[in-house]
Amino acid sequence: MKPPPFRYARPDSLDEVLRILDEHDGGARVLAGGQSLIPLLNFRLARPEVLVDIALVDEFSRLAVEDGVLRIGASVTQHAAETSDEVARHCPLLSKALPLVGHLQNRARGTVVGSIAHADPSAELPAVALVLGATMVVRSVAAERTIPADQFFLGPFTTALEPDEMLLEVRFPAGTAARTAITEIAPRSGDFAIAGAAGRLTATDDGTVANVALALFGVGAVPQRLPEVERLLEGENVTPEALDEAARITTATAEAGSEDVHADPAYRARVAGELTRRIVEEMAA
Amino acid sequence: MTARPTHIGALVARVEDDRLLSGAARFAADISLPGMLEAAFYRSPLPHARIEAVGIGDALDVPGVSGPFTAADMTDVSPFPDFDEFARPVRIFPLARERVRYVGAPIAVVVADDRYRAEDACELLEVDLDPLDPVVTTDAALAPDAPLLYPDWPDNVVIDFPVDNPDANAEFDGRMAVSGRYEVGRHTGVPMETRGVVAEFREGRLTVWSTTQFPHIARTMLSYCLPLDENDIRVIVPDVGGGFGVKAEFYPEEVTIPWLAMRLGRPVRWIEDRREHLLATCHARDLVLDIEAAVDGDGRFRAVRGMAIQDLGAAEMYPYGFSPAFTAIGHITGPYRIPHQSVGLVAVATNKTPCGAYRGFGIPEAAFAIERLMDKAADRLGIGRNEIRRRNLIGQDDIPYTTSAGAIIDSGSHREAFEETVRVTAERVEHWRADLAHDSRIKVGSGVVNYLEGVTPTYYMTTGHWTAFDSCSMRVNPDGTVVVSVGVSTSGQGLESMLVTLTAEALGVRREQVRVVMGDTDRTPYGLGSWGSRSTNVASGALRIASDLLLDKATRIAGHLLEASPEDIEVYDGALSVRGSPGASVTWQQVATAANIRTVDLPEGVEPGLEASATYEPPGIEHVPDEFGRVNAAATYTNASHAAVVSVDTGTGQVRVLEYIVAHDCGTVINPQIVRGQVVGGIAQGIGGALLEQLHYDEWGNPQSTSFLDYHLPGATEIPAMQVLHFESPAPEMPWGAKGAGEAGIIGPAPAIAAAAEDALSDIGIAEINRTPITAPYVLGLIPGS
Amino acid sequence: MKPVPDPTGRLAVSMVVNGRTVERTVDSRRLLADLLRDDLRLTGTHLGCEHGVCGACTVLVDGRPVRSCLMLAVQADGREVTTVEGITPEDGLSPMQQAFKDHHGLQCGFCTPGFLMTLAGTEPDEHADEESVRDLLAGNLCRCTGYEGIVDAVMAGWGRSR
Repeated sequence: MKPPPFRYARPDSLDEVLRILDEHDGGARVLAGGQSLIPLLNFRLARPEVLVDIALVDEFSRLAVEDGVLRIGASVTQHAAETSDEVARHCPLLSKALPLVGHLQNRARGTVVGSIAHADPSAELPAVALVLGATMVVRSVAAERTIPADQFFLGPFTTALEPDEMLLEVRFPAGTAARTAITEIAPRSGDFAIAGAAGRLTATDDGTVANVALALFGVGAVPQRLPEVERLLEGENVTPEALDEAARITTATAEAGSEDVHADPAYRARVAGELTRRIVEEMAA
Repeated sequence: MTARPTHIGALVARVEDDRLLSGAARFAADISLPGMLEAAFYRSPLPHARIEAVGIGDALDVPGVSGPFTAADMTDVSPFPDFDEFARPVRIFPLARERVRYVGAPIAVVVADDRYRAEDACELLEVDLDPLDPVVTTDAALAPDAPLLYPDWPDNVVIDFPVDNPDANAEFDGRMAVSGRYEVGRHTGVPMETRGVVAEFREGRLTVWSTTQFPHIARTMLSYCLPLDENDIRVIVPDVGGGFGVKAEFYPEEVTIPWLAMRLGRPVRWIEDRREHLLATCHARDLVLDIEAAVDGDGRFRAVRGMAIQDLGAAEMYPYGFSPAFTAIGHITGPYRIPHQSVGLVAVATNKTPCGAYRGFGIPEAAFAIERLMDKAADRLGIGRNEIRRRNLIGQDDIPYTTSAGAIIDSGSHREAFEETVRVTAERVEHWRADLAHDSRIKVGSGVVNYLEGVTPTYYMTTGHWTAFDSCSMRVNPDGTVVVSVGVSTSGQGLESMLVTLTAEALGVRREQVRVVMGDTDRTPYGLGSWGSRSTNVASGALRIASDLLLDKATRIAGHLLEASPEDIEVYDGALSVRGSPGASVTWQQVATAANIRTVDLPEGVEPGLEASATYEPPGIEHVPDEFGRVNAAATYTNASHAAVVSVDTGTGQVRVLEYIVAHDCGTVINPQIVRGQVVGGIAQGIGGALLEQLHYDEWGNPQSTSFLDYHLPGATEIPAMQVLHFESPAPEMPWGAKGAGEAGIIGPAPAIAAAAEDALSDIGIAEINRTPITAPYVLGLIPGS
Repeated sequence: MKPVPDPTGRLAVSMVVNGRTVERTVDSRRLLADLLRDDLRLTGTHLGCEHGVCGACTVLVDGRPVRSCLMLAVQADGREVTTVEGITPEDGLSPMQQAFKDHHGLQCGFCTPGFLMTLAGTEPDEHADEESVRDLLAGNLCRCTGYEGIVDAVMAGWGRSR
């Protein structure tokens, strides 16, 4: 299990990164923390012509809150975000999700942006991005564009990124008004989730749900919002009956196509309902 | 020579640890020889296929590559011999000939300057395989029109051992029958170190460094397969990163790599990667026990009968993969007084990785079946699950007791261990219920199970060899240090420390005086290696005899030097002294000097030299079962009671082991820390097999668990704190009374956890848990509402 | 660490390993673990899975525990790498190594350097109780000990009783 041959580039500017991506027309892969890419290389499941190591591009290491937005650059490690006071203060759901990502040795190198760009259907951070309505900042030699999270994840390991584009930064709306929660079931600690749910909820003083966003991960091909459940809950109090109904609708409406050695779609759908119930209950408490 | 201070049972640090902790240990992958090449195997991507051609493709474009080598090149190699008289001969050849029968079967090998390039070249080979219909389950293998794995066989049955015992059948007349079909899933040892072989051929002599658990057996096998005498082969076992039975098999790579070193005239290293490991190192378990018991109204079991159905995978495994199933039959009654049994075996070939040895070796499967059946009978009769065991357990009054499988139980603490476990468990389950009472979705339960384990078995059922012996040589150097060399071999359990302790105990020397040599066929006497919880028994037996011979001579020399009678010489703390005269004393150095380099000081009639060799084969071992499967196949039997306290999340089905309690009795404990480590380590592996680990195949025979992303080993967060309660019932026939502790821990977890999960859900009422692994989806599927 | 404008197969790297500056020319695909083990002969770092799960290859890079099987040697260019050899005193064992020995925190010892390196990069204060210690250890697999001796050793090594 050794990587196949590839060429390696370590540019020190964004322009140079983009130029190499452009030049190789899909044959180049960005190497950030490598915690998803290097296993694929070791298994020889990925065969890039060129790896573009972005470690020297200073601007990618930026983690900052500006104008109500938490901006996380492409080389910010999960460990850096996990231990960042700013993230804890302005984006608590991300803080709660990060300890669930791999193990600490992986988080020491793995990046927040890399995990989102990798789009593993069972990964936590894409679902967090979806729940929070994050924005992907994407650039190629030709242009920069932004992609909302709900248009970014197209399928397992497939995103709206074009081959010559790079995900430079993910922007999370900052804010602490909402309550947030994330939970998952995994065969063992640190493993990818069989199913998980993440949410954000604001309630009025009397407990009425003003606004709620819920997303599942590990259940289907992409992280998915639960619009029917959200509609059910908004404007209501979170009663035991409402929780039962939320679980029922989640199970009934979730796109639960994922089938692997760990669980079948029926299990994933049922547990998705249960996990949704749990995070809503937690957020409403 | 009595009443000297004892090392037995003392808490002493292991002698192995310093090198392992500092990174100075030398594992197979750490071996680097001048001019060494590295090998990579091209392995079958198909479960069942005919090999049409192996083409070189563009592989030679990779710099420094040699190969590919295939079976056709190995004209001077013989297949593994088939010794077993019961089974169909499989004729294993190191590289596949004509046909591949599982994904991962080695077809060709290439070498290069490093593993990166060897893998590059492997990928470029053009191998033409003609797919054949795969056989993926035992049912499919036994179907009348099943495709045949071995075309010259009439069917896919490797071994058929029906048993029909009229005495057992008679017990079913007029009694309640309780039946179940119990399936222990396919999982395996998965040591943290994979396998590895390094070979060098120089001046007509082959040296092989191998991660094997049995260097002498490996050398014998190499001599069968390669055109070399055993004298021309040296097998060395470096530090080994865990074996657990999977390294007590002799594998194709262990012939291929030495053959390459001979062919190429350069050292060759092959280090298995983890993907290869999950495909090509033996799988295990995958056994169904379909059994029923005749039970009296008061819960007493009168007979067990049924069938063991073993999915062997491709069956290309030596020692044989069906042997654990025989061991399961031999343990089907557990430590219970069940007068009759009648359990047969059918073992079939399928297109999966061949099954072989894994710690527990059939006994976990037997324990899962009989303990589950006992729970079922208790529930049906309305007797408590603990109470029914109480009514069936072997008591002190029963010992010696011969089980209906033929096992002769000469000692043990079956009831005492059980009652203590029950008592502690009752307290702990209350603690946990209170602790988790705030969450109505979490249910807590417990289960207590018992087992006995035959240790130091015959090698016959596994290899066709009529033997169970091992050996020890001891030599005292002129400076008084002692070299002990043995035929057993360590893979990290602490045998080195154990032998240091026993030598110090036997000779009255200080531990620091002792050096242990093992795992080197040039430097150790012939022996069968380490498996079957045997090393403590057989090595201590041989060591005891050798040390007695040595002591006899040493006391005669000391007596002569001290002008005292040899009978009055006692040994301790490195000295030989006249009993009652503390000043009258000589050191081992003085005695060994007389024996080796001042022979003029020897008494008349005493030959020079101070060394002794001995072999030991435990008494009472039978090799072959009778027509009803009865055999006393082991030297002695350990016992234990296990309890799991678990929580079940009723919303997700997830089972968590909150705490584990074990009362363990392996006779005399030589090193309490090592015994405890073996027990808790075995339990952790058992928990892994019970809850997490499974080697999945899809319906076409493609393996689905080829990485640690899909094969889950338990981590520190999945393994609970454990309470170990010690019992010591020395084995009357064994030297020092020690029984062997290597495998026991792994036997209890599956039935204990299954029982505990059912107990937790007893309010809800679920269908029986009758298979492992007990995954969350499986458990949730048992809870109504699915 | 300098940019590599013209990518080629082999690259010069310089890093500090166990306090000594090491300069080598390596294939760009070479894993850090293989550089350490085969090129520098620091064989205390072990490869157990080569896909970042088992933790046997854990080393410190700039003081933080990482998987050396999931890092290219070129990515360690300009960084500080510490292996088990680097935390072992000249004469004897470190307190944590000694605690592993005293509490039977190892059997075959293959995984042990990885555990030691995770611990070497950890602040004890961040792991106050046994549950938290087990969480800390979740990224290192041991197949021998059942973690009992390891948890005991960590507690003792950090001056706590279990």
